[in-house]
Amino acid sequence: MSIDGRLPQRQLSQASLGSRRGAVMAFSEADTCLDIQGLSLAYAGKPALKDLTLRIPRHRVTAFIGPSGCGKSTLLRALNRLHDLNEDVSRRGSIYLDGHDIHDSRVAVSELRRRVGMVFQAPNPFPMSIYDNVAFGLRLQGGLSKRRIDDVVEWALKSAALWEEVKGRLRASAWSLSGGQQQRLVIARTLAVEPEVLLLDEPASALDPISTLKIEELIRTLKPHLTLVLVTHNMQQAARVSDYTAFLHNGELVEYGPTDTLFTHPRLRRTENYITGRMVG
Amino acid sequence: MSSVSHFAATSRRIVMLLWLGWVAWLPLPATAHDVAGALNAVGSDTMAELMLRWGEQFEEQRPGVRLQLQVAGSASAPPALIAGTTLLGPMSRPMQDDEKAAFAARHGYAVTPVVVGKDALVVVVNRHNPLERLNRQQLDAIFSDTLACGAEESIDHWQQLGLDDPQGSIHLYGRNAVSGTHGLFRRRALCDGEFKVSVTVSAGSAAVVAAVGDDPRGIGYVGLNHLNADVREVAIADGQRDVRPERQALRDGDYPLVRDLLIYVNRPPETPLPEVERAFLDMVLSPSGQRVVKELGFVALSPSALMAQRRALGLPALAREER
Amino acid sequence: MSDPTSTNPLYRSRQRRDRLATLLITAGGIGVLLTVIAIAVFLLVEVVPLFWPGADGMSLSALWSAPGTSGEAEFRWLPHRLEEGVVAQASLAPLLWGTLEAAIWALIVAIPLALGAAAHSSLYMTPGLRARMKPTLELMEAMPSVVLGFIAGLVLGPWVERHLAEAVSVVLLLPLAMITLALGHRRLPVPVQRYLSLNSAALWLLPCLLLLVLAAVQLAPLWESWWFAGDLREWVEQRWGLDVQARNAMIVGLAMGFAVIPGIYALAEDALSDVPRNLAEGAQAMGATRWQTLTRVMLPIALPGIFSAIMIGAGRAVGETMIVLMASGNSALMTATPLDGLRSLASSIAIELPEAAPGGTHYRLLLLAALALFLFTFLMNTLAELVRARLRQRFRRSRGDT
Repeated sequence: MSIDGRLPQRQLSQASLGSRRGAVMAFSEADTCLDIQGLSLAYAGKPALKDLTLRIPRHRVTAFIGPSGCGKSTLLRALNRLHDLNEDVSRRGSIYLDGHDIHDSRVAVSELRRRVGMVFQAPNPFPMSIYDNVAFGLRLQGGLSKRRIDDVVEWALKSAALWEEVKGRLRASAWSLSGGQQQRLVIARTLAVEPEVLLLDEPASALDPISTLKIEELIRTLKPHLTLVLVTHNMQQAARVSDYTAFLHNGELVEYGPTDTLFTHPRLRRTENYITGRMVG
Repeated sequence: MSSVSHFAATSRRIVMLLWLGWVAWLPLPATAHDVAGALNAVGSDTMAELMLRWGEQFEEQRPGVRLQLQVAGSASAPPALIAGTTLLGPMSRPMQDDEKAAFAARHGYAVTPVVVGKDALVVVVNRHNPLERLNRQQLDAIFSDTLACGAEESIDHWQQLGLDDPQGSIHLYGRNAVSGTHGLFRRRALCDGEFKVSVTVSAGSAAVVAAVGDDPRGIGYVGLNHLNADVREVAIADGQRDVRPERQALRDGDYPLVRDLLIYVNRPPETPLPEVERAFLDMVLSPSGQRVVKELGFVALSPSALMAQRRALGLPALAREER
Repeated sequence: MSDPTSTNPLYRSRQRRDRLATLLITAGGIGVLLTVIAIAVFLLVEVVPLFWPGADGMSLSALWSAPGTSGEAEFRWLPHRLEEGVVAQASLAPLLWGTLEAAIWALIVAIPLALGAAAHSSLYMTPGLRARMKPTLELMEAMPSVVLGFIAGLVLGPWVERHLAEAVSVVLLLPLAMITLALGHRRLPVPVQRYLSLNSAALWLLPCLLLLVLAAVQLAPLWESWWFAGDLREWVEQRWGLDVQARNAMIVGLAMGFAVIPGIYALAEDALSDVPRNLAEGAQAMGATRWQTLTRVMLPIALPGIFSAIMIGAGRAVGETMIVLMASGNSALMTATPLDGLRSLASSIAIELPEAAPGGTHYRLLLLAALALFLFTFLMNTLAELVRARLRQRFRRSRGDT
């Protein structure tokens, strides 16, 4: 079933863990943030992910690309156990965060989700004020003084490049912001609990081009502090923003490598077909 | 889904209010004989079964004549008589002065009361209760807080009557305020006083009996024809004697809680009754009719009372063998 | 696409049919509206003469309290005295109080259960189980209130009176046991926890509840003999002077709560389901537990819908007749203890109207009671609809933003 994640580097690069066609990136353990091994997922019997193995490096942006229905969002959601909320899902394989199995029975899921934050496609600010939105995660944990919360809220909004725009109206309803601002608010909200990993599921697809650029800029500035995993259907975005790209198709990991290599010299025909727009479906 | 259930709730309410409206407009003016061969009567629900049995008996004698009975309480009889909807109005209480006046104003003559039987009110307790008798003051003190019959203090607990079992407070069961049963009990047993507020009110005598039968601490009053095996009757001590609600005492008028069962008839003076109504009353005031009264648990009229009623209506006297 | 100005006969007949259908539907709607207005007008017309100045006229204050035999102001509903021309003592106060009492007890029983069921059903239940739960609750709603009243008044009430200890035991033990179960659930070994998951709690909790009820009933005589010298009822009566009536406000509350639960549940569950899924997901992705998601994110949005559900339940509880008629004892008391009987406006109308002389004061008083009920329910439902309309507006505006 699962292979001990502490295999030496050399063995790792030779072992075919799952997809034989994909190149397994040989990051050292210190560089690996998330280690996915043999992950298979099925919704009500229908397989969505087939025996995926890949390692996601720390402090880098990793992009998942592929046609719709390929399983990239499913893979993303598996990384913070969002599938636990769905009874119909069956899973095999494991995922390790910093060497610890996230599915271990002793793991507190809410703690995991604090460390691995998620931003969704459609901005979903809560029906509260801007301040309360950002403070939401902090208040879940409890035990923080108001001053501390104030400080963290300011810091998070600044990190999300939203502070200047909203500093005068923190008590206004979050729903009064524009789409791009709402998405940055959601990012601020996620950042407020100081995660290690930020998962972004097509964060800019519902936004206008200028907001999209702002989000991409934000991703770049966050990189030194976090590990980012980005799902996008926009290949130009993946090319612009990510360091590593994984191409998924039909629930399988087809190819995985440094972004420029994948885009300029894809090793597999399937990858090339997708990138050049010749692949249908 | 939600709007469907909301609609269902609103339409249910509308239906209930429509029913309410219909009931309120019930005694609309109509002709007394809608169909040839129909016999109309509007009135008391205490006498409902009595009237129905008489109707069946009458139909055997006169095939084709059906009794159309509307039972909405004694209070519905006077308006129907006044409006001319019916010529017969069974009532389990006498008409009040204003009702009589209204009839006289409308028709120019007085309404004719016909006593067709008697009903007795019986005080009942649970069958496990050993209580045998109560005098008038005790009865009043148990049921009322006005103590108009001369008791000194209200009786709220069974211990006050010297009983060990049942223990505890007395649970009162009675009828709703506009029933004839309630009215009679209030006037006679409570000496025109007022019931305690804590009485559990039921819509029918059968419900009172059921409740007392179920409750070891219960005491209630019901019509004689509703007794069953779960309850026991209590004698009323009047003066020296205990008067049980038995046939003899009731007939002779010794039992204090008796009321007349009447049928009020719209009959202009010096005019004979219409054929059908006449035959009906003839049957009612005959041995066969009075047998029905007895069967249903009421009290039949004594022979002398029967004769007097027949005479008052202009009915021929019964043959000697029939009495 | 056909040209709108075409004179194609087929098209014209379709148009005619369409217009006819619209006309019939509008006529039906107007008809219903007119009927409701007609009812209101009828009630008003019958009630207004009650207040005509004159010998028979009553003042509003007389409807509230009138001097009794002791000379002090009393609240007594004695309408039959009106017919006899005696001092009018027809205070609507005990009836209003009784109606309110019954409704409040019903809501106390119904709101926690219905809202809890709605929250569980929308957050925890699997879609398959939820789909099966809704029809079951609709069955509950289909139960005629006469049957409920019968069971409450003739079966449950007397049983509770005779077995007070058992009833109290069940009422106290059940919540305590549920809390213990909830706390203990976390400590179960994980595979057992997954088997007895919260998502399918509706299935495995049922036998647990039944066992608990049985246990509570069996244990009752034990603790009754330990602490209450073998007879709880005696003890209560001597200690607090409370007499347990077989038909009382609590029994009415239970039965009426049962009748009202499905209505509140359906509307509350709709309100919770209407909360956009991505908000709940966002909260859970931030590490909020399901309870925190419910209380911090979903409830604030669903609150207007839930409030309107409660108000509709309250409207139903106020107008419910048969249950109160059979299970309340119809005693026109004005006490606050739930162990005493009560009398509501609706049950008074049901009992007394058939025997009230039409056109008389008593009759008009009862129609006044009917008018009060009509106005109250009308007001409640209108308020509920306004709140829900406002909620829908608010949501449409905010969704347009994204």
